[in-house]
Amino acid sequence: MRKTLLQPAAVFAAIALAFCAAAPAYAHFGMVIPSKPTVTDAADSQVDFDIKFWHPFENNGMTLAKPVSFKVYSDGKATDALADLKEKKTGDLVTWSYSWKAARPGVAAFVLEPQPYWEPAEDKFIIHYTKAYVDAFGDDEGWNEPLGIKTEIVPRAKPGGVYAGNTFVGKVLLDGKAVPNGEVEVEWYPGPDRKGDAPSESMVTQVTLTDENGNFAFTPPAPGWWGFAALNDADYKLKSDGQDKDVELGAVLWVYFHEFRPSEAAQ
Amino acid sequence: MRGNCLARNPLAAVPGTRGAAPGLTGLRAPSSGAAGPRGRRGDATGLPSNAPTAPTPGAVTLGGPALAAFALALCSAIAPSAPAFAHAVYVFAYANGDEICTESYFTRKNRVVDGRIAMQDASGTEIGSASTGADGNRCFPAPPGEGDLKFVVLAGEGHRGEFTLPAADRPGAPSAAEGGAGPGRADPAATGSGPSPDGAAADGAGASGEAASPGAPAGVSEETLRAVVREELKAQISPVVRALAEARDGGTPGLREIVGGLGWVAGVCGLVLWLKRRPGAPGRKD
Repeated sequence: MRKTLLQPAAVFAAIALAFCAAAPAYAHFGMVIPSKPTVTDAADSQVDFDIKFWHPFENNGMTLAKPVSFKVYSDGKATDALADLKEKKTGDLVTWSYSWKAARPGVAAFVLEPQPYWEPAEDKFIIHYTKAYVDAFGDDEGWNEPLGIKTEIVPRAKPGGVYAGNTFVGKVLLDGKAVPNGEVEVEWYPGPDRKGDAPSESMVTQVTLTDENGNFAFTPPAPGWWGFAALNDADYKLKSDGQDKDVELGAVLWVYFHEFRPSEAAQ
Repeated sequence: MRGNCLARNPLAAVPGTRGAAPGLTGLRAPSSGAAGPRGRRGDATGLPSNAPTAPTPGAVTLGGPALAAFALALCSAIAPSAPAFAHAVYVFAYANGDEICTESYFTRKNRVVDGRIAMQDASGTEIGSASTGADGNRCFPAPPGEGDLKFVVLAGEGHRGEFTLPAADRPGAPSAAEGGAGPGRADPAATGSGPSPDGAAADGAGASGEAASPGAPAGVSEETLRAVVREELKAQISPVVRALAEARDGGTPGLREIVGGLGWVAGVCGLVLWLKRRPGAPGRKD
């Protein structure tokens, strides 16, 4: 009798343990996701942005407080669009939306600077400078120029033209200088109302390192939005409850990888 | 319009990496049973070579390939903007005062010099043309009338680019926006494209529920009405679109599929056994 009672208890304990072991330590990602990476048609030139602080692969996240800034870089100048951000709810979390219309040919960069996010689990603040590009009407030049933000990933492969299976290369800058041997976290965003299915937790957030010149390379296996977060410690501290705490500076870049389609008859 | 194809991709990406062979998922082979536009395009091999560039269904007189040609024409009609090639030529047009100005370019720095830029009305009739000049920029006086305007640039050696200026973006857009509802306006998504964000217009319209009264939209601009209808339609149809996308993606079989599958197996086994047990059935040992 005792034995039969014990067995379910053991099973329960094992299950509970398994769940504990699988307790998520998801990576944080600032997210700026355009509704389309490329505008080709003037009648379909509006781009809607989903802006949040998230665990992309698992598709859940944190409330994103009103950002410090949201800027649109195009035609060689930066425009402050913070006032045009609209607060919205995703579940019970605060996220933001932004609508933009491509009025000219060219590459536009969209950059979010959030308020420092206090993460008690990691005992530090997190600031992710988050960037995405949209190119319009066939002009896709200028994507390899640094924007001059605090920390950023400068693409070394055209962000508006990569297939799943292509190798993406980026250069990590902090205060304008290349970051050698820096960590870059990589996550896939499966899309609204979707979450990824990883064989193990270590497959949720993949990690690559920059080389001595600050360049990293990564080859996404599947189409969709992939986020790259180059993480560095700030050379300053912020106070939480009167105590100095570390600040993680993230340079986040979101890139859309297209599905490679079969060939068709040439015209 | 290719934007629609792009917008579809995030959904196409949904099947994701299911662990086993993540390196292959991005490079799926074409699905065999697909009856989508891609399948139809496949059927269209052996068409007259001019069919794709002349998307006029009336020009197709062949019996067999006619359907395929029509499908192709439809594809061309749905995706009119020229795809990007390494040496692609682009044209961009915008309202500038009483004029419509065009810019023709291979890249932003590499302009189309002395190419030919033509303006067509919504029916496809050419209503103006000019040389692109030394810098690729040419302005046309805004033509009278309504509807979309198409600009075609020819830069020699088969370099051809197209751009459609939506009726709503023509000079004097607010009045033109009403004209935008006329024939030739095939894309409802375009009608809301004013200087203000589309979403804001739609939200405002949604707040005033009486706006949707059919028949006599007194005091409500057609623009607003369209925004309301568009929002409603989008809301109604999005679960269907998602379901379709999920169905197309296959995904993991549900309980229904599993039970159904087992039923099939049992049924086929039963049939085989019954056939074998019939008197005189081949292979039956009495």
